[in-house]
Amino acid sequence: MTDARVALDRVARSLLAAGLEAVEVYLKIGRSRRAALGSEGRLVSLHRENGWAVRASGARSSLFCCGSGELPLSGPWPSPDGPSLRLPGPRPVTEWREPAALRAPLCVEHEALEILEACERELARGLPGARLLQATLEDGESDSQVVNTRGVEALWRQRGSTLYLEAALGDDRVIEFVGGSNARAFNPRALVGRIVDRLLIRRDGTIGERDRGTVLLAPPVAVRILDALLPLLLGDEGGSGSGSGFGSFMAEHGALGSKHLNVVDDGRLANGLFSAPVDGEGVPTGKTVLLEKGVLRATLGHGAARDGETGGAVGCVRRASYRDIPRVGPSHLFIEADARMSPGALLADLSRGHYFLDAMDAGRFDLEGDRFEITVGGFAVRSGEPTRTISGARLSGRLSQLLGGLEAVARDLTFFPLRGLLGSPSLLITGLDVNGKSRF
Amino acid sequence: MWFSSADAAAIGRCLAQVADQATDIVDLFLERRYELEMRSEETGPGVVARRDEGFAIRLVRDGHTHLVARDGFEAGALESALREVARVIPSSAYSVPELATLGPPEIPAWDEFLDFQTRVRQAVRERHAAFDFRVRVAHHRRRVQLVGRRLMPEPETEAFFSLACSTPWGGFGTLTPELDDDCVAAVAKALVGRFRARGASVIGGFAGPIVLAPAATAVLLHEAVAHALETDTLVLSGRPEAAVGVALGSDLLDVLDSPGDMPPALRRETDDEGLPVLRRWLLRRGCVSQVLADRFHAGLSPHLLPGAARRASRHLPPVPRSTHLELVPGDHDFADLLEGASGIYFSEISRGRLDPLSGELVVEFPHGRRFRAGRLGDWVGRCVLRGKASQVLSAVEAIGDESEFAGAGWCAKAGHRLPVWATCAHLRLSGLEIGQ
Repeated sequence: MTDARVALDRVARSLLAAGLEAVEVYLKIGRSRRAALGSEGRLVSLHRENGWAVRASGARSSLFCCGSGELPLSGPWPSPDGPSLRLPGPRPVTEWREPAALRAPLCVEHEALEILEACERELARGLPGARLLQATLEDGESDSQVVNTRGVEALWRQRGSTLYLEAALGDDRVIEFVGGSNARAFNPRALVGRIVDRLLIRRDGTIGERDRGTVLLAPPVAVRILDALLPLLLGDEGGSGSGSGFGSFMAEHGALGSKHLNVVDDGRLANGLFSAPVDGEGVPTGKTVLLEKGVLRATLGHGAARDGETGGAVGCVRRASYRDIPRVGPSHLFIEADARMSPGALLADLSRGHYFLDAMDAGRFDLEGDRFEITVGGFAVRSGEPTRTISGARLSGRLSQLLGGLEAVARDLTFFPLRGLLGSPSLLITGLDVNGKSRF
Repeated sequence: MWFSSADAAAIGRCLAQVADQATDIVDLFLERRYELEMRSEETGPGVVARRDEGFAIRLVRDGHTHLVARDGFEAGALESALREVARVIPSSAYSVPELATLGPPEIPAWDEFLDFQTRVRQAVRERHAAFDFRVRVAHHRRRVQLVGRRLMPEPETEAFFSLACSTPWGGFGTLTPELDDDCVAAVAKALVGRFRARGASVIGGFAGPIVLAPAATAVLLHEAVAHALETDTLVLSGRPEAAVGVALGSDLLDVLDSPGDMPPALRRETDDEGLPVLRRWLLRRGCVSQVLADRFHAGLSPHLLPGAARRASRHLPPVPRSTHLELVPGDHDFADLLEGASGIYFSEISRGRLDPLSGELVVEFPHGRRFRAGRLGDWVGRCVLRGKASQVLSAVEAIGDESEFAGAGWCAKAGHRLPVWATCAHLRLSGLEIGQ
């Protein structure tokens, strides 16, 4: 790999003529394998990525350039324009022990195909008549370096895998998309089991009756709530001011949600898909409590904007690839689980209510108007037992009630690749409408 | 050879060594793209430039596709990629030429970028409106070349601009071959539409006639005709060739895909598999005439014609997609279309999707205007049209007499982000319900 510090000196010299004094060079090499079963038959591909990115800024202008192949040390660069940008300064990196999984070899072709074929077999066994429309496994590794003229210098390695499964029964279609640090850890039986449950709910369920009360939300539904809260957790980049309807609720009650709501972002989560010692700008990552007992404690932010500050989380700037402008975003953002509580125990204690397993759309969450609705599937529950299959029901209410009515969390923390890796355990919530009047 | 001074015939011979069965498909796809984006955000960077180049080798054998993709053109890269795709270590080394691009890309002129936002602001003021908005302009250039065992078509190039505008009442995006006065006027009209419709009433349920402007017609046909007739969609529910002859819509509809009939900066002679593109009739008098196929799917049936393959990137395999949809114009002028009972006129569709299994079509309109007896009236807010694609296409009762090159946008089906284009006229439909 090119020596990034040497490259930075050359690039910085070539950009100085354009008045750009602050310069950052990012280099990445990667290798990935993709296997897919779908309408194109069987596909196996091998990709070698070799890219670079340069950010540079002067007093009143800036630029971001990126490309594949060798970094052009002396340009040509386009003329900078627009506002300036700030690069972060160096911060001490706390000790980082590289997980062994980071050095695990990529899946070879037959291993990757075997995982997909196992999914195909499990689906045929678990639900005759169902079809696997698309299955894609990606397994990759990369080495990145970032250096800047303010003294940041970092080198890190990442390793990650994703599995996308899309299955259908008649006209009903469901998608499971999961991520992890090692493709070999994907469990086809468990994943396909979730697909079968969801397809059966869609096949057998009815919309159910209008109701109001307690609901138990499984992780795929609960994680949508966390996704909706992201603008509040992204600090200045979130764009949600305190003047919003939801912001007023926070001001009035001093909290976003109940005492059971604890939200954490952890850039070093053990076996996490995005775990690394530093973020995309070379700023050290760490674990940050964003919401503690429902109270907002910190937001995610740029390392540069928070140089010298003690509050707020840094080390959370993400680069989806070398082609993308670094942006503040979560790495592993999750609602903390309660290790003592199983989802089965929460269900057993539910005397009357609903257990929703399936988010049938992404939902609509309006922070400004303090309202939400999402289409869900699952079961009506009496005395801890499912009594009726529900599909296409509208779960709605005020967002403040959704978070304030959180009564318990389970231990089944599950992550989903959304805007970052977002995770939630099952959540028990009171005071929500099922098939109530639309608030939108 | 555009990408290299190397001997293309030598590359063809190497590919022929890899494809040792008569039915094998093997090709080398060379790609080079450059994007320059001018942003108007509050924080930097103010300018974004992306240059991307590399190649991919594909081998299709017995329904299996092996693809090896590389960034850049490092020495020895082609040889090692050939070994990887063939998955053999030959007893004698391939005699493979090196690939190299011919120098760095030229950086496009800035002038038209710099004053585009100013021109749009001026055009908005001329429409007696003033509000805050941002415009992000990007120039996209792409050159691709394909080398096969026997094929070596000329390189293809495309160059266009993409615009992404944001207002407090929603965004607007489009693609355009040029930042000319027509483009400025179209963007200003779309932005002012959002401004005028900002407090407009929301429709609970409306079942009267609707008229779509050419840009909205383009999105509707892209979802309901093009996506419905792509072989990777059709294969999910049966044999793609079985669609031929099926009545998909009103007998007024004649729709074709014609990548060769676009403005010069976008025009294609060959597809992304190096095969000549066709003026492909998709619908004749509302019945399916042909479907969109690439080489892989065309191999499944002798009734399917390849030539509609597109690659979003060298890292992805080719897929069958439309490039430029054309709707044959009808004989109604715009005033005719607005005659009669009260209806709603939609100038744009902000989003559309087709469920490939159920055929359920959903299109979202950012706003519209009521019309009655030939005159446009009050604005209406965001609304949605839902229905089976065939039901919606059967509701077409008149087509405008003037076509426009309009309605271009990004298609992102199955993760393949591709620019798509259309030449369409106004469309009048009845018997459909518009709701929320």
